[in-house]
Amino acid sequence: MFLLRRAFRFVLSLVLVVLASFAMLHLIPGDPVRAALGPTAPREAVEQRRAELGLDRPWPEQLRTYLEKAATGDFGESFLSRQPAGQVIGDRFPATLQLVVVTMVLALLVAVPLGMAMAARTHGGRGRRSELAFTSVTGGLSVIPEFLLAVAMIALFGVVLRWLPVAGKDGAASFVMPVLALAAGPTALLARLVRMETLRELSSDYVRLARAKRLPAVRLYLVHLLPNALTATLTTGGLLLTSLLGGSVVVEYVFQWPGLGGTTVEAIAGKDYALAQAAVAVYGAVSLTVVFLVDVALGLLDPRSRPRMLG
Amino acid sequence: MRRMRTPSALAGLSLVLLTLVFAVIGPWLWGEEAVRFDPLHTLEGHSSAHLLGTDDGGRDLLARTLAATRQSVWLALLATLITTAVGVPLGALPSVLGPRAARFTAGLIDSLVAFPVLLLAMFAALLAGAGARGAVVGIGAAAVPGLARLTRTLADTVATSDYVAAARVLGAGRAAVLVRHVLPNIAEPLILTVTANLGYALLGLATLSLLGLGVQPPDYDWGRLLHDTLPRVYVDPEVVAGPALAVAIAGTGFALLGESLARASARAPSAPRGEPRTVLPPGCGPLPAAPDAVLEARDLTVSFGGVTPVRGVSFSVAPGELVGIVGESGSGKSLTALAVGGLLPHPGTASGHVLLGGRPLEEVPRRELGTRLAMVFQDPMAALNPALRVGSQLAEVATTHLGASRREAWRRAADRLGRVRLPDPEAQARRYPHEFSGGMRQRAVIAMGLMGEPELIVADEPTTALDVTVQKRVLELLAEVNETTGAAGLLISHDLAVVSRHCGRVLVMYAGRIVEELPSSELRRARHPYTRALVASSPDLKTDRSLPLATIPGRQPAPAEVPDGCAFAPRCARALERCRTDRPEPTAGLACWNPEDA
Amino acid sequence: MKGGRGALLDVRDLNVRYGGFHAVRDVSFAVGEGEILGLVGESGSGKSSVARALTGLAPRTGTVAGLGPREAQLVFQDPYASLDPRMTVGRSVAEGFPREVGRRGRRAEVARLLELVQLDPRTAGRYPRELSGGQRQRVAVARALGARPRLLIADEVTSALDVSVQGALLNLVRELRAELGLAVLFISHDLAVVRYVCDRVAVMREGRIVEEGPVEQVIEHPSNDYTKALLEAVPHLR
Repeated sequence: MFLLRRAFRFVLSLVLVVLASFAMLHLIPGDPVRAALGPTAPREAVEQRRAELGLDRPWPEQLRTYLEKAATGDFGESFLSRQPAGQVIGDRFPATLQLVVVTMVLALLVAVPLGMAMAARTHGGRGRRSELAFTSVTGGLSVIPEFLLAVAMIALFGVVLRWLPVAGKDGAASFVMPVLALAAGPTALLARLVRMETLRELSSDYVRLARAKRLPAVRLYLVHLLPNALTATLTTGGLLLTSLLGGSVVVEYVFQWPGLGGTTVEAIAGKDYALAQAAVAVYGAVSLTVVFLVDVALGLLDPRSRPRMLG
Repeated sequence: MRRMRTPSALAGLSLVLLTLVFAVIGPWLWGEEAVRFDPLHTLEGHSSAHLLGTDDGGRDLLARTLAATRQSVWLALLATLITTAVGVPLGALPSVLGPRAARFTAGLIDSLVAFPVLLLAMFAALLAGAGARGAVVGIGAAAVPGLARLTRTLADTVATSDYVAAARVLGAGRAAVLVRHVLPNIAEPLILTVTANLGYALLGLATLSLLGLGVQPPDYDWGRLLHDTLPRVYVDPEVVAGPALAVAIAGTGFALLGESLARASARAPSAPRGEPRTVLPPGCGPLPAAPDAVLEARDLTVSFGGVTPVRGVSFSVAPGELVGIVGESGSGKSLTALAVGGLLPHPGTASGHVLLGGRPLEEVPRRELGTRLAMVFQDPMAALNPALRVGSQLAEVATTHLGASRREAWRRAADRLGRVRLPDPEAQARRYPHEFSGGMRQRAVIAMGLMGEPELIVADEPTTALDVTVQKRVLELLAEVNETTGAAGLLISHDLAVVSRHCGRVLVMYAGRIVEELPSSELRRARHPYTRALVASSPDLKTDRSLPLATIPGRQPAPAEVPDGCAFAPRCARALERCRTDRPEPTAGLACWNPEDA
Repeated sequence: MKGGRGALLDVRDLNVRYGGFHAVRDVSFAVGEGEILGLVGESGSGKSSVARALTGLAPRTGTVAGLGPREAQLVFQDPYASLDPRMTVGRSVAEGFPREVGRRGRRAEVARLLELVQLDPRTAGRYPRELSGGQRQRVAVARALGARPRLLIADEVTSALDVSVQGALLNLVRELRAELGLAVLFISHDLAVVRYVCDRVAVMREGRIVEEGPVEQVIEHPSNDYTKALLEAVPHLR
């Protein structure tokens, strides 16, 4: 029931994203084809292009063809390269996905244990120095943008020390800097969230009762606290994971990563609206998928949202 | 402005001030140099003439960086203005609109929040056209959903509060509520968030310009400078240092300042940080023999930093006996219970003696504490872990301390749930706490205490959160467990009647001390004026309705302001001169210089 | 109505529904001029929903006759949540003043009300956080009285307070009735308190009134089984 409702909302949002990507082309002030071809292009060329793209037909018809084609992954062809937009995205997206997934996994693997450990160390006002160090470092990291970290790392590890490749995607070493640059902010924020939620749980009655039962610390933290702290963290912090997608565009640009981000930037800068349209749809769909998956994970972690057991 | 003292806030503030100074003086001092072409020195690295090198026009990069401060900050300010002007009304709208429109706006905001800000900004910028204007609109618009959602959450909290309900009953309209109550209460966190947003806008604009989607030449901001110098990072890394550092300083400055102040204002006022802990000397002399007492507290004192909420409490509980502790909130009764269980929260420390079965509490092995000491707390809704099945929360006592297998432990858990008279205990064990009512949960907590061989059950306000009919059954269950297992019990309550009904003996606490100890049958004939007043001010089903209820003027002193003499003296009608200066030591269960007649 | 007084408030077939949850079912009762009617019940009995429905805070169906829109005022359970933390006591108390009080009469009226609830008039310049729970609850009563109500609805007003403070507030409710002839709907889960304060009492269970009558009669000779069970469960001091 719960999953069904979430799935329904997910599908509905997907449709809205596709509609929005369609609307985009029509919201652009002026004539997008003229803008793409430049002011010097002959009028006939513009007209011909408009006809090719179907832009001269009434918009309900355009919408129908757009939806029909979008359903089969056909987003028309790039204004500039004339390659099918779907193919461009198919070529580029896997690299983006790899980068983002590796980063998400790393962020969770670091933030959850770190946040819980810091909570254990600092709850009830003890360990003030650790608390200060933790909040200062994560506070700083959480506001420094990806591209600054990226540029600083390139300068240090790539150019001065020459430890790591500075650009491109070639083997495991090439992942190190992009992943670190992308992961730092979300990891810091997630770790703060995990710590705060764990602190909240630590002061709850059930933890007091578990202490009264003299449970070993491992059981207290892993069995009693972890599910609750994780649920609370994902509820408020799930969106952090989608923010990685935005960051990936910049990181890909700086490291010349062969992903969708660089392509999207080029498409926007070059007024290649068909490609940009397709990119909107893909990024939107991926964001929604992440949100959906977080919701599902929450449902599985929290018995309160599961159907009542018969018995 | 005490909360300014956190290091992040201070760091943020200094960075912000630095940025603002350069925003003012930057273009004046370096504006000309920043645009001076020098075809002979293009694309140079560090030199004494050009600390950070030159660009493709031979213009000095340091001068350009400093001169760009005003443009960068100005654009961020514009973007934040857009965010605020749209986001705050959009977020406040649902609390003013009717329910359906409110649900629609709320849903819209929620679905927009799911999209990454930078992507929203890129596409908003695409629609508005590449360039500074597009970037400002894009960054400004992209932050709208986040700010709108925060505004809505804050406004909702206020709008659903009792004081707004009271205002509505008093006849205040929606607009009046918004102006009088909602805005003043959400203004501070919003202003701080907007400050932080200014930082994020600065960083976002720099990002867009870096990607080539923001400011276009011949204009320049820090992001544009980065865009132009980035390809040279592999040769002359120092050329990116200027704009990169500037962005870092300004962006993180605003963000840090806003975020740290917002967090500080959201936090509850922090507990007073006392002076170094005063550890009192342990109880004087050898302990008098009470060999059969299950629990013996001697001169038990609890301190939190400089304050001492429990002061030298002594009592004992024999096997099978149920002893009550009564007192009003702040009397120290719950902390006494926690100290007895060895569960004082940090930084609380206990001194004096707590003996369990004749042994000091700290020497009793954990395993024995886990099986022989049972605790029951006030709120049954919070006392069970919502994520774990009830049965496993019982069973873990047996697997941890008694070496039982999982199956044995679960069988034992079901048996104990049956003993506290939950119907169909096997099925109940497999349920989650949210499927239980309050009374059932409190039974489950008691059953948890029965997993071992309890010798002492400490119940702290176990029925305060329950309805009277449920309260009665839970108390009867506690008394029955006490009787059938022969365990000693300590029942803490604010309710004299509850304690007198089930306990043989009652300890009355006031301002951290036991002021009287007496059989509960003697409560109406208590000799301490406080106990008398407490009895007189609690109405029961026989209270004379023609007379006003007895009241106690004044209030109980907080732990930090307990006077030298008898703490009750300022409120006591029988107080003597001596009561204000000398503290009466408890003798024969009574601490009073001028007691009532028996 | 009983005791020869005219009915101030007449409630017929009151129903309150929150979505699919039916909180109050066909409840009818009347409160006479200067009468204190008690409404007792356990959690979920619907007694607080009655209070919210009568003051327009919850959606209702049925007829409520006898009172104008602001003539019923509500005092809430939690004195720590019912005062705006950013308003001085004086501003809070003046919130419901009718227009005719005007700007000049305001200060004097605030002082009068604060004295009426036995608070120092100088409290007007202080903020809620500086006051104790009992003092805050008095401020909430003064604020309600500022709207010149004919009926005061007290929803569990003492359950967040200590016993020694509770007595003083109960005395205050009785004095306000004696001095101002104010009618009170006194909602509580505590039968002993209701018995002490009220003239008549209605017992609620699962959204319905199961028994109603003069307080002595209901307490001494209850006719309903649920009322009997409730009375039996009240702990007595030995």
